Amino acid sequence: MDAEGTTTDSALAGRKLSATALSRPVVEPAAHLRLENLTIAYDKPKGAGKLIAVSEANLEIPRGTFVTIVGPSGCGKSSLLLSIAGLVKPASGVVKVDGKPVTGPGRDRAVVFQDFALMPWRTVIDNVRFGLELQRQRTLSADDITARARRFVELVGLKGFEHYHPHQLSGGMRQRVGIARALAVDPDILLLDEPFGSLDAQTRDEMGSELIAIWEQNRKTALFVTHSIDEAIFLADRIVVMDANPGRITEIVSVDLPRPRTVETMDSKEFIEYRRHIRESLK
Amino acid sequence: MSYRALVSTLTAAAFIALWELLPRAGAVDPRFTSQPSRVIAAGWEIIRTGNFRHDVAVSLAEFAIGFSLAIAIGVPLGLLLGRFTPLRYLLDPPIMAIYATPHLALLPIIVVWLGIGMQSKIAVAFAGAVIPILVNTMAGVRGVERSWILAARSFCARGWDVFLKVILPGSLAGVILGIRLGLSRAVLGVVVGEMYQSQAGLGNEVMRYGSEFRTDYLLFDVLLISGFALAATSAVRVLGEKLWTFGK
Repeated sequence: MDAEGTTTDSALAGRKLSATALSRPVVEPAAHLRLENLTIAYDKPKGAGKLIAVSEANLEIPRGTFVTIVGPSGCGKSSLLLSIAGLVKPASGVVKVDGKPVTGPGRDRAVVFQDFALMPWRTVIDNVRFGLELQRQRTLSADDITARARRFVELVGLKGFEHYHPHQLSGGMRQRVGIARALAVDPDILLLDEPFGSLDAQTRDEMGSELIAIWEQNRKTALFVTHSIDEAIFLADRIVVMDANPGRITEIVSVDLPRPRTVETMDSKEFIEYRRHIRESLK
Repeated sequence: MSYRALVSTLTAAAFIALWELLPRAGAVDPRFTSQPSRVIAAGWEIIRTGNFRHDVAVSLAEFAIGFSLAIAIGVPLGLLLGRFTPLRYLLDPPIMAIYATPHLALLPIIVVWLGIGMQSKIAVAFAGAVIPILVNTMAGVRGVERSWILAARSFCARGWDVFLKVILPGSLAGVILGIRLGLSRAVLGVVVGEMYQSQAGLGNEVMRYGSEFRTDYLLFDVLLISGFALAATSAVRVLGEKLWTFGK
């Protein structure tokens, strides 16, 4: 464990860290999630070679950390997240969870998708049941699955909407279903791919506050992709800043804002300083 | 009663009233147009006498067998072609060519191949129904969004689970639409097939009444057939809606 920690420290030191990140003592607990030289490439259309979405990404995330990934469109932040989910195969490099390489989707990880990815023929409760049906059919009875789904529907504030279909819900409510579906399978790592990207600004802020309140209850390791700087700071223990062409990690910023965070957090001097810093970093 | 239902009912009632009253007033010749009362009388006559029951049984059997075969082959093949792009590229041009072909024009050859018995009608009903079922099932599968499959995979679903939980319910709307369109084409195939060359069936009756200039009798059979097609189509739609919300 120690040896592993040491390599990581030197690897991290090798990447130019910001003053903010370095100001913390670099004594890392054993990493929950680790990316080692992760490169993701896609075939260009008509055999025009490969498009490098993410190049040589290294990252180390301790258990219970809320990490946000921020960067411009095309910086590969979603590809990075989906490869951690096991849904995109890296061209080279490796994703490790608790030291074990990821080879595909697993019960230890659950994804919240940008476009919600709800099944339109299923009601709210049945959409939340979806992951449980796929993963727990052998171990839980149908009634237990429903009871568990109901609990998570209530957790995300959709009590009373159990039997609505997605098309009857607003965007914010749909993503609550998406979050409930992911939380219901009790993953170790929660992966959120621009979950509030298609919501209006006000709904987005509300959803962010509620998500962080839910997260505070059990502090699972979470990765949250966004292109909103404010959202990235508000939620994060750590911000991974990425840049495009090729997609790569340019900076990792630790956020030392007290929790629980509220809307007022966003007006604090420190918050504004982080915002300035990230904006500079993204230039 | 809703405004829409009220207008529809009034329109239908007005049509039936005019149909009955215009011949009575001497405005049109009932030998050509018939009348509701005459059609009902003819129907009573048809049901009591002759081969009516046998004809209905033959037509229904031809329809049921041809249509079931069309579903049994069209739906699985459509699902397969929808999922496997190379197979679709291979078979899409011939399918579209067949779709554009007026299959009823092939009746003379089909009768040569299969005779004037039930087989030739089953074949025509099948040929008419299978293509819309196939094409719409294919479209249904292609309407399954990538993100639904990705979501299922993120919860560790593989092949069969993805098919049962996502692809099948996701394409159900297309399947049901195809079955509805195929149904009326199967009915048409049976009736026209029987009208062309046959020994029994409602199409056979229609042809006979037509040649004998018995408009009342002919219209009773035609209305019976369209009533059947309408009821069956509605039944499929209701079943589809039930299945869709139940789909999991």
